[in-house]
Amino acid sequence: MDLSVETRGEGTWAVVDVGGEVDMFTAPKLREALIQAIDQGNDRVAVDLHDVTFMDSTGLGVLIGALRRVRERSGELRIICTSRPVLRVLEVTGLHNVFSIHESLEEAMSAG
Amino acid sequence: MKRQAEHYQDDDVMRPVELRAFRLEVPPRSTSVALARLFAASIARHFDCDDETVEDVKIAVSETVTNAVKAHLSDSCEEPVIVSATVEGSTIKFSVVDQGPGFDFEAVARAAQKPAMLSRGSLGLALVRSLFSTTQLRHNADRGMTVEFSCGIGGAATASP
Repeated sequence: MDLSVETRGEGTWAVVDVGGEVDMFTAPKLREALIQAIDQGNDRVAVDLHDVTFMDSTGLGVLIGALRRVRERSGELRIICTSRPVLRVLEVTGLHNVFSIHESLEEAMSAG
Repeated sequence: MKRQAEHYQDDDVMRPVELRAFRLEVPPRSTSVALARLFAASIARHFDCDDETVEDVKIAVSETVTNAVKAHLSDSCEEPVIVSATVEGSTIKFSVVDQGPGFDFEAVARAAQKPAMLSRGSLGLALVRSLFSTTQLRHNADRGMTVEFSCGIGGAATASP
């Protein structure tokens, strides 16, 4: 099991592409990448979870932490996700109402 | 596989028995969570649970084993975490047994009532309870906790405890 995390720039956005499974073992890698992206001064962060095949509450905790961190800087964090298992966890926990979730990067970047 | 089937056909003594109980012991490490998840998902798939149920089982086992591993690490306990599955009629009962210090059920239940279940430490268990209404927790007689939940086989409804 592994987790891939890569950060790139897309216009005024920092895009964090994530793939694999996010759990207790792999979540620290995602947390580190998100903190780094935010602390580098990016106030617009998009987390692309298209290729995430599994996420539990540890992963949700990382996303919540990143959302708080970016909001402290008056920035915004948006999630791109069509992965059914991830959407399931977000819906069951009610967090789909907390995060701004989009089907594509283009949609996330253009949303108001 | 064909050769194996012929072998069993020729010799009734070698006919495979239908397994009804499964057990996995994993060390209290973060790497064990994925192994436990794979174990539970394989059993659910073997017994024809639908895709959504398999995904829910993966989440529930991941959450409960994560909590168990944290409990062991917080207590410097090197004993294994035990994951087991037992097929009973049309349901599979999963259980995760740890030997950690345990926790206050009522405090966790109260925390889980908060909006969006955001309270630290309660999110995982609240998630399991949301997915499986059959979820039960109890303190073990000697040490630690047992978390149990059940799912229906092959689309069968899961009975409440």
